[in-house]
Amino acid sequence: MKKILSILLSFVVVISFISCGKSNTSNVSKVDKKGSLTVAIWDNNQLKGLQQIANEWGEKSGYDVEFEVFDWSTYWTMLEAGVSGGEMPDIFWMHSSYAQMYMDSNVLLNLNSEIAKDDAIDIANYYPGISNLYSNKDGHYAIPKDHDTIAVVYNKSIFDKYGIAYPTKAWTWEDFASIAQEITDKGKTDGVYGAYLDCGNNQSGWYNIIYAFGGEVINDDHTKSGMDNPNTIKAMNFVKDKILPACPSQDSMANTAGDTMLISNKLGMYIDGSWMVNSYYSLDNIDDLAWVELPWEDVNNNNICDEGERVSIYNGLGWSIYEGTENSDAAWSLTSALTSKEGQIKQSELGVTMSGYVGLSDQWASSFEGIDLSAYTDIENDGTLIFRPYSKYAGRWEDYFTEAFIPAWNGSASMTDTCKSIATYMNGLLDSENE
Amino acid sequence: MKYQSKQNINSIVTHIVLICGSICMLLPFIWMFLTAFKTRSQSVSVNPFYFFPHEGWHFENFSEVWNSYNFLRLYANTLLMIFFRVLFACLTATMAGYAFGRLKFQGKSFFFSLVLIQMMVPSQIFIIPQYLMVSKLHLLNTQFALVFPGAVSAFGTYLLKQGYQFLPKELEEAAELDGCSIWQRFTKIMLPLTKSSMVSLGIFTALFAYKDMMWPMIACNKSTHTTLSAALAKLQGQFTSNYPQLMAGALMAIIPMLVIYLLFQRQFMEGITTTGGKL
Amino acid sequence: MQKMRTLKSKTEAKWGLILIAPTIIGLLILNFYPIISTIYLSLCKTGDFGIGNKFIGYDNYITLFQDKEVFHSLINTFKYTIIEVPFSIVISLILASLLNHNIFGRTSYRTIYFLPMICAPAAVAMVWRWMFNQDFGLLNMIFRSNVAWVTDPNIAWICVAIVGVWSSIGYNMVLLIGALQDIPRDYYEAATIDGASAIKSFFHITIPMLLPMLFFIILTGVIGALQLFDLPYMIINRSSRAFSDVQTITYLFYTYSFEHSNRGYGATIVIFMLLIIGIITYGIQKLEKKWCSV
Repeated sequence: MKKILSILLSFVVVISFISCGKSNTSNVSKVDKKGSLTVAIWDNNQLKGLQQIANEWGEKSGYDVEFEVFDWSTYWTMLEAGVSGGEMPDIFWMHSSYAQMYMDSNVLLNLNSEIAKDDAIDIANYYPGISNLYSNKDGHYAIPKDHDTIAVVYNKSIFDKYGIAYPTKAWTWEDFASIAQEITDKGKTDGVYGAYLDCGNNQSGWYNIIYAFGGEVINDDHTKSGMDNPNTIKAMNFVKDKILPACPSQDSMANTAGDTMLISNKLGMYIDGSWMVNSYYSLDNIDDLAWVELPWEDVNNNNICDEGERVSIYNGLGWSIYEGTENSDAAWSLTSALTSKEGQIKQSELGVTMSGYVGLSDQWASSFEGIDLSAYTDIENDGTLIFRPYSKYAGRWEDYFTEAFIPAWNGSASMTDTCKSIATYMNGLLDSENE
Repeated sequence: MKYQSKQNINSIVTHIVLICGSICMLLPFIWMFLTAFKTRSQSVSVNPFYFFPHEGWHFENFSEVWNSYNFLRLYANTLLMIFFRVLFACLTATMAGYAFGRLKFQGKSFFFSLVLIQMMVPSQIFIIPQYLMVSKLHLLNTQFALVFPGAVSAFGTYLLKQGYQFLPKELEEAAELDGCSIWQRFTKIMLPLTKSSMVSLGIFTALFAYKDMMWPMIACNKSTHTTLSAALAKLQGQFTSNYPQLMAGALMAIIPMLVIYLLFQRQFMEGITTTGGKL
Repeated sequence: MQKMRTLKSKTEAKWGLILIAPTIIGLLILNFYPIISTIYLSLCKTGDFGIGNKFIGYDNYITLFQDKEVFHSLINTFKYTIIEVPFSIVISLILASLLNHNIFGRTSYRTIYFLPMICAPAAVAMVWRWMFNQDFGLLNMIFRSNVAWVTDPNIAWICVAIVGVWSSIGYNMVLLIGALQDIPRDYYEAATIDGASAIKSFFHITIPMLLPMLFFIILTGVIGALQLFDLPYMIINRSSRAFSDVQTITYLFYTYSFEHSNRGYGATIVIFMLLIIGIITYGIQKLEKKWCSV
């Protein structure tokens, strides 16, 4: 026993030296810095690009920038703990699911005066849906960082295998459904399906169909549910009758994610967001994949794709500054560097995400060599962008959607009735938000 | 002759049972190991037990994960945290376990029920208040923060109470007659007899400390001060399902624990075996 | 004589309090302050970030007792506990007995059975989730079946229990081996001399001597099972039709407190859980006193 203890003790001493040793060297470089800023994010994929932009800024301004990456749920726990009295990062991302909460609680710095003083930042340059999300009657609380759109990614090898022509952007949702059904019919013996749409695929799924059909998920004021709107019900019944038969069973979809099936050649088409491109890009079979714009729905039966008939849901993160930060000038300077036109161009070129600054999407698309991502950028001109439906506590009813739609998906309940009861429940939640 | 063959059958049956059980235990690990060497699309292909994919094994998952973090630092932080938690938890728990198990004092059941209550509450409610306490002390991102929640152990107290409670009274009474004080009885006689429980406590404290993920992530989020489990969690990010990298990371994280366990296994097992002192 | 006895009991009382002091003080600071504030939260309609908490008395509890989801989750949790704890204990008891003798490869077996304890829970859950996958998973491949392991409401909770048992066997086994080693050989020798069979010795010597440790394992196992969160969180998808039949009460608490920012109601659920676990613990302790009287 004594022998173990002595081994352990010497081990501990050695390790302590290693730990102390490393921290000494990093102290030296801090001597000539004016200070340091902490930035918190939740996506590891974006770290490298953002760190690069921040380091360039840091060299000019004399500040150290430290990034901290968390996983999604720890990120919000950490922020909440910080607000309740702990340590807050100086700059951090904001998301539609939490924006209102944070704005209402005076956690975010009001940026109006900074925007007014800074020539590089003009709110009009950013996507209105995003800047509206991060502002209220008192002003702006986050600068749009990026935006994302939805498109259809398809597996060319599947289309080749069953002799089906690749989809083009002229297609309607009916075309989508029939192509999907063809793949599913021909792929029966191989266990291959044409499409994938589970109850939980909302932003990158049935939300888009609802709006293309002229329905809505929530009204513009974010006070009443749109799930009992007749066009919404029509869209969901279309999903039920035309799309789901071409998809794997609801059980299968609850077991396996769509992108997994797509990249293992079990799925022909999948609806996915632009933020996922990075993870597809690193695959060894990336050459099998291609992207095409979301289909449209001929609501008024005139054979022309009118305004509002082709829809992509979009969302965007924002950069916010902590209300109680000690370095508000430096924090604003870095935020400005990240969101100015140059910063946004750099972000796009580094392939991070599509910019929140209008008109720079091409840089992002071209930063991925060898693949054509115009499907994500062209829809901004060819179609209508609808901001992701939200309310102060959107998480509550979004979770509810996933669970409540399960019986409608697997046929044990009527889709129309389910939509109506979901609307009732959602209205209850929205009423309690606005009490 | 009959007895001998009965022995043999017993032994064969025993081994069959143990081997089947071992396969069940090992199956997930074999999959983990194989997946760490695949590419992403291979890892979700239909046959998970593809031993020799035609492109050979891919080692780059390991180098990518290694480069994302300063693994030496992570190992060091994790091991230090484990060492101190084990030290403090064992010290405090053995003292309290002896007192609860063998001494009579006022309020004993009340205090013991406090111990039980701590065990009954889900740990998630402790995280934010503990974080605020450490933050007010300005000790976030330090070794103190990592050790803090594990410095006392209700579980350990209970375990050792059981260990002390059922030791024979006669030993203690004999010591008392010989003029030993309570402290001497405790340290020289009773404590050594609970070696097996102490070793078990040490092992479990070490394991729970090692697996603790949420706390190190929140209290020590700077990558220079965080632990292995927290770093692994960050690998997942919001949208990725990059199985091979995750498995490579998990394997690299297991290795120190495995090495320690294998190195000290004999001592652990010997420790769990008590030595002498039996009537 | 009287005086000596009082002096002795005073010293004993003093030492008792001194020895438990570090632990109790630690628990009060680390754990009881949060518990008290949780109780307070359960009596409030919480505002975000603890700002604007409105004291509403028992309203949360009234809502809770009418909440079908809470009782559904409670039943799910009980179902899991009733399966996981006994299976885990019985299997680890058998293993501990087998591995207590000096058989060939004993160390290797012990290491293998202990391995699940060493692995990060997230990785374990991910592996099992993939093994249970209906279309591509290992289990359906081996059995050439199409069982809906994680989406069939009748089976899903059993699968979670299987993973629970798998993970906890090593832990229980180590504790039991230690306890087995503590049983004096003489007892067994005396029994053999008296002509007792192996089974008889097992039930009349081993089990009674193991009772303290068994009760410890039962209690910690039951408490752990009633608090189960990680496994269903990571193995069952929210869009699985079995979700509402697997969701445990701690999972429900987590959803309300951390995903829906409704800490008040989440706190109510926790306190409710605490009461239930408290009652069950009290029952087990009473049983232990009855059966383990030394």
